[in-house]
Amino acid sequence: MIRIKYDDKIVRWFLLATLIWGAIGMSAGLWAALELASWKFNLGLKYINFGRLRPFHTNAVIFAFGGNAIFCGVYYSLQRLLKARLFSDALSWIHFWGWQAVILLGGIGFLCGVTQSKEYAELEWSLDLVLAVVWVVFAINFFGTIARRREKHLYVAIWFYIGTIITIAVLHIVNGLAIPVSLTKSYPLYAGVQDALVQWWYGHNAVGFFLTTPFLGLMYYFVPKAAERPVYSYRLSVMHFWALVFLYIWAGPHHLHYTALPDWAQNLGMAFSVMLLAPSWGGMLNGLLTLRGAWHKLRTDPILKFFAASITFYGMATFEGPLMSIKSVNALSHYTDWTVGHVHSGAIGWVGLLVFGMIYWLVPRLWRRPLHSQSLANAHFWVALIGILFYVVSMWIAGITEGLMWKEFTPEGVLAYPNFIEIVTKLIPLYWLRAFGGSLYLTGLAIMVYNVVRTIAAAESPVDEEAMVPEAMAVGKPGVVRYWHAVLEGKPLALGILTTIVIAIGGIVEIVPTFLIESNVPTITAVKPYTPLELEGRDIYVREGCYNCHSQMVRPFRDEVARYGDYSKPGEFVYDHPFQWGSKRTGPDLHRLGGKYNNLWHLRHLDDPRLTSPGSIMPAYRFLLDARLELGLLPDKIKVMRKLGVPYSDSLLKDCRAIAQTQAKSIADDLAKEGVTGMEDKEVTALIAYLQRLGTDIKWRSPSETAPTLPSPIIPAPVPMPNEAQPQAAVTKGGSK
Amino acid sequence: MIRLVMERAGLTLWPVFSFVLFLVSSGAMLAWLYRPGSRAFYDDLARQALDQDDAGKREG
Repeated sequence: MIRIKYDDKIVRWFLLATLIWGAIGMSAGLWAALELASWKFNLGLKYINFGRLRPFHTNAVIFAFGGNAIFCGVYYSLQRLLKARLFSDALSWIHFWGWQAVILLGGIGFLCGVTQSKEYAELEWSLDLVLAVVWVVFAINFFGTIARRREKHLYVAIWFYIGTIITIAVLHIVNGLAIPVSLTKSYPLYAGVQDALVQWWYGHNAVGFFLTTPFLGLMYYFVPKAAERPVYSYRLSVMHFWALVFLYIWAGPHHLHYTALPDWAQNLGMAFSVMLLAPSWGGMLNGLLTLRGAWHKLRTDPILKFFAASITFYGMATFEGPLMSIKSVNALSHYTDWTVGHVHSGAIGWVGLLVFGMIYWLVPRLWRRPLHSQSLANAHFWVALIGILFYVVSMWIAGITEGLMWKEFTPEGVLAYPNFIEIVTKLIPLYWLRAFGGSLYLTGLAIMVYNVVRTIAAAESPVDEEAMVPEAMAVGKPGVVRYWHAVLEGKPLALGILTTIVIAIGGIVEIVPTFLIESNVPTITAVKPYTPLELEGRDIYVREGCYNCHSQMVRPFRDEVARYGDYSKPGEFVYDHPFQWGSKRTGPDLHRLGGKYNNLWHLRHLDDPRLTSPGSIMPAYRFLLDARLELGLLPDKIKVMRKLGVPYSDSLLKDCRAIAQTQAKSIADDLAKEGVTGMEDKEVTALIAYLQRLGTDIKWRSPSETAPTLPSPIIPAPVPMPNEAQPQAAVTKGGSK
Repeated sequence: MIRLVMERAGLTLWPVFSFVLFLVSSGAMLAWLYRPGSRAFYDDLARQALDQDDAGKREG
């Protein structure tokens, strides 16, 4: 036996980073919630407009709070499970500072409008690359530690860590493929339907493999430690791991039900989502039953309270997820606040409470000092739990309310609530309740920070833990037969390769046919690339994060066609790098917006949404009326688009700036007739050009509607029903793009 | 060739095929995990998380 010292210093730093980023990310979330309750919380500052603040919040909470918590727990448990110090101190610190730098730079970038607009993958290509390098550093440190281990068998928690490291690397690389225009601007390799499928394959599995598998690994380590009992069923945990990593990867298309995604892919996503219930609940029961015989401790032990509630939320969220993936349920729930409630029951219920429990367990051990106050930890639990309930229940009610109101028809057969704002205003009280719940949750975090700071302040200089370990790896007990899976559990490389194969199957089966089978995206000859000015306007739309509140996907439902216009076709998005379908309708869908209002309406609406839409909660984009439109990068953008297959001609590339200026002048002249002058070189003009183009490639309006005038700000223009629409575009199957 | 196969493969059957695949593989794995005489082996593995000598025990 020899004495070794674990590297606990890096664990302490990741723990403190978890608390700091948790406070930042959740504060941003609370502010974003207030912005939805009252638009005045946008403060007229473009940097914190909802469209920019929301990605800051999601990234800060998922990758900063959640990420640092993962690394904290993984580095603590890995060393002890393997009886080995971390592979490299240098790599540990590169990992720590690299991760913080990416998050900090990315966060500042989001507030400045630097984004790829793909949810939970908003980082631009340059930071994506740095992130990939940092992840590889983490992987080398992780697998290097495994190579130096003194324990042959890899405990099940480590399998979940391995699954996380491999899958996140694959997802990040595949979804992040893009061609740069500049250091802070790129266009993704995929367009439209393919981009949507890849993005939600990523988006769903980011939840699966960043917010689920690593935390399940932490659950399998820290819950037995806290309960001082072994995991209820190790066999069930084996089943849990393989079933989860196999099934999760297939379920992404349930984010795209009733969209232009091929039907077979939607059905596949739904089937696997429902099947996910089995391993998820198996894991939940395994976690909860680990507490068997320790239930009495819940009365006094805040750590077990956090763990028990966390696992319960895991069970609830993993029941709700498959339910919402059923197409008939999804028809109601998608684009509503129900999804927001579901996500947060997983994020702040399952992940947040597990992290809090883990931190309360770790702090006394890492600083060799009992926790400052058990009572405060108990108070934190109850405040957080009540906060979650306010949050989730208010979003359930809001989601179902808006979903039903969107679909409501009068006995005469017209929309009961044709004015979208009327529905939004009904939700405002629930948005206040959500903000109240969020403030309770944040208060709980503040209590925890105080408790931890007081504990650390009273502690002496922390000392890394030492342990007596075997000099070499134990080869197993004599006389015990090791079957094939037990052998596999001692071979990290083989386990890693098998995990990669298992997760690759679902991705390949779903994504490859979408690219190969051309009938999945029938070509519409009428669909043309954006003009240079529209392209610039689209980039402004992306920069401002409009997709956070507006979808661009009219689903083939009676109510949506009546409200917005003809349903969206796959072939309409072939030049959309990136796609902008969105996932939430805080405001109305915009895919058929083009030609619905005149240019002045758009200008007034962007200047102050309340002018055209009384009651709107949209932030004002007045700065777009002052900001000068920069066309310096336009030729480079056109060149990149050409590389991506967008058929821009040589002459267009040569004259792109002049073409953009001509179109801008045309819009500015139109505005000048209404008394608004000086808009020909302003960003708002480009954005108007883009908005006026949306959904107009196919002719779906009747001739009487093709020359709109300034309509009533309340009542949207009438639209034809599907059987009345006369698409004039030639639709062919199997053509190339 | 691959494209032709995929065009004619009848992709709408994939959810059913995947469900059967899941049931069969899960059933086989369950049968293996719960094979007679394996309980002691897995119970031993389950205790691995509790085996380490860490500061937690000393802090009580």
